Amino acid sequence: MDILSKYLLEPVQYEFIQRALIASVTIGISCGLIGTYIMLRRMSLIGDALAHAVLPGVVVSFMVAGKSEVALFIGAVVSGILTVLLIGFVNRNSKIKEDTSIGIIFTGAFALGILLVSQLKQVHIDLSSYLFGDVLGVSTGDITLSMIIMVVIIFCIVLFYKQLLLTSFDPTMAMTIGISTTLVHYMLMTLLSMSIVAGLQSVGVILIIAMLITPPATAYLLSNNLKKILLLSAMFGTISAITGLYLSYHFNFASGASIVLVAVALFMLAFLFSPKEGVVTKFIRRRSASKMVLIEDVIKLSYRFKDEQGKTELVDKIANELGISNGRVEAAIKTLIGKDLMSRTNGSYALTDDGVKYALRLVRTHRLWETYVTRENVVDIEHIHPEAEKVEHVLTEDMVDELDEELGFPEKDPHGSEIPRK
Amino acid sequence: MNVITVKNLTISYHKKPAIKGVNLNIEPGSVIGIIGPNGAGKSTLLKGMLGLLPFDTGEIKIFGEDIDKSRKRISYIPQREQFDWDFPINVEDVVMMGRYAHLPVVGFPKAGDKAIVGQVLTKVEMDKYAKRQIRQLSGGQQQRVFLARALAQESDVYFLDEPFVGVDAKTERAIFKLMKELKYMGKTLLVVHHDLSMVKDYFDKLILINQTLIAYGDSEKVFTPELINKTYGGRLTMLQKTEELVN
Repeated sequence: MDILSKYLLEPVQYEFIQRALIASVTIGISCGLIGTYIMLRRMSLIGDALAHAVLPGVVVSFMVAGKSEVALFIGAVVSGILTVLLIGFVNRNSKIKEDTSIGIIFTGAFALGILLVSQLKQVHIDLSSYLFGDVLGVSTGDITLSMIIMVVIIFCIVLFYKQLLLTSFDPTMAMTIGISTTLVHYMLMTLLSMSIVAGLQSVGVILIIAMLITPPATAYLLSNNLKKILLLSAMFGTISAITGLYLSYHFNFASGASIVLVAVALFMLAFLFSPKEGVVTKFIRRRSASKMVLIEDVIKLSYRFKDEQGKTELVDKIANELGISNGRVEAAIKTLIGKDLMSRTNGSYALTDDGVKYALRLVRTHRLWETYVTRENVVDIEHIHPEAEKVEHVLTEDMVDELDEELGFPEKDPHGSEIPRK
Repeated sequence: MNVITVKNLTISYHKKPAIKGVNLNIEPGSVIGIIGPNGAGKSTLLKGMLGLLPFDTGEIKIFGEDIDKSRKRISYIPQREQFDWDFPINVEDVVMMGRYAHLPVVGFPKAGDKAIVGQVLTKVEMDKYAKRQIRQLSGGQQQRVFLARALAQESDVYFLDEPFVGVDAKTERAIFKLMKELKYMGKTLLVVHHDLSMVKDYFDKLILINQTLIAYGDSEKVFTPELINKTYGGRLTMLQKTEELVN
């Protein structure tokens, strides 16, 4: 037995681990999908609330029907929907705002659940497993239930994709074309209650909240496309479930907690290193941007001092102009030579044709920008130069063309210098 | 036939009337500005006509029918600030929402819908940006995307809420040009507008409103110093003050 099979295959021999894996993967997918909409609609608090507020429904279903998955499902969904209705009722009929109303109703419902549990001794509900789940005690019935729930959720999201999208992004337009935002809201709340029920046995209420929020947030940091976010979110839910379970098996960690911690670890990775939004990525990008600014300044100045004969004179002049050391200018020139924007010709540095084009583009941006801000009377002519020095490095070519068109293709900038044409 | 008929419309927020006893008969093929000071009920009137707000009294008919029967014939361009610009959606997908009104409850956009989206994007010169996330656009470009969405809806009445706020000159020209084009196609446009400059250039007709309807008619006739003063001028009347105390 090599290491791989020891760590990966050994746990799967046990039937209870298999059940735990299937259950937590289906929950990861259900929560990841529903959670995406909950996050986009800024309803994370309601996810939290419902997860707690299904408790009285669970207890009552126990009292009536004993341990039955169907009864549990009905009880939880009914108390979930009642909670949402009550929250809305309080909110609409008083000056209490929605977040406060959520806080009142869900703690109330949760407390009612606890009271019922403590009073009815003949019903045995283990509160701690309700809160934290017991993924290793998942029954076949639990699995069937959570798989059915997952299928229902996927169906609803595919069939009502456009209603969900429009009511999340622009509820006003949804109403003008006759989509009932209330109906979509209650559909989503029903699906949310269902995904909570599915996760009760395995991760428990507290950790279900994490499964609803963390994987969608991770996916959101990585993509700007709703369909991709839905897929990524379901994927992160799945990865968290599987990895968390393995960790729990090998290191004897609490299963629900390790699933959630894996999800949080994934979030932190995205938060730090996401290609677009990552904190570290942004830091690196800012550093390379300031390097870029230096290089562009050197191009521009090499163009301005293009008649300078000796190479030391050129470097000196540029260094003086920018207020930096000769060494840094030399380094920048080296980079430019590497990019074929400059070349070394008989003892001096000169811009190549591409280099000249690049320099003219910078000059054009700079002068167009100065023309623009003067025309718009944003600042007086004395103060526009430093600003244009910054702007020339950040405007994209599209924006510069637009600016040019907007200004009616001017020939001279406010200082009277010619604006290079494209 | 009148496009919109408003009879004795009163709409209140928290028991305070925002607009009171408004009567209007709007005919097709014109660009109509809704003008009035802040809090005069301009947006309320617009949302009332769109059937977005419950009203205390009155009646609104669009093409002689209840709003629910004419939803496919109206489109709405909301104020820009109400959107979450970080929403994971690109230009093309926003414009596609315009086609939703014509799709069945369970149904996906077809090739024809995609073609229309492409056409309207070209029309507002945003086809280059079809795949851009909406945060990565300038204010004017964002406004043009929402214009395109309304065009994709192919409706007969367009409701625009402050379309000229925070847009660049190019977009302003584009909006103006589109308004004219739509008018010549026999469409009706109702535009909430916040300031008084350009009013005569933009609009054929004006609705002057400050809680009650001050005047409705051709811009040339209605845009007079007296009526503008009446719309914008003065403090609350004694009647409004007492009403506030009583409610």
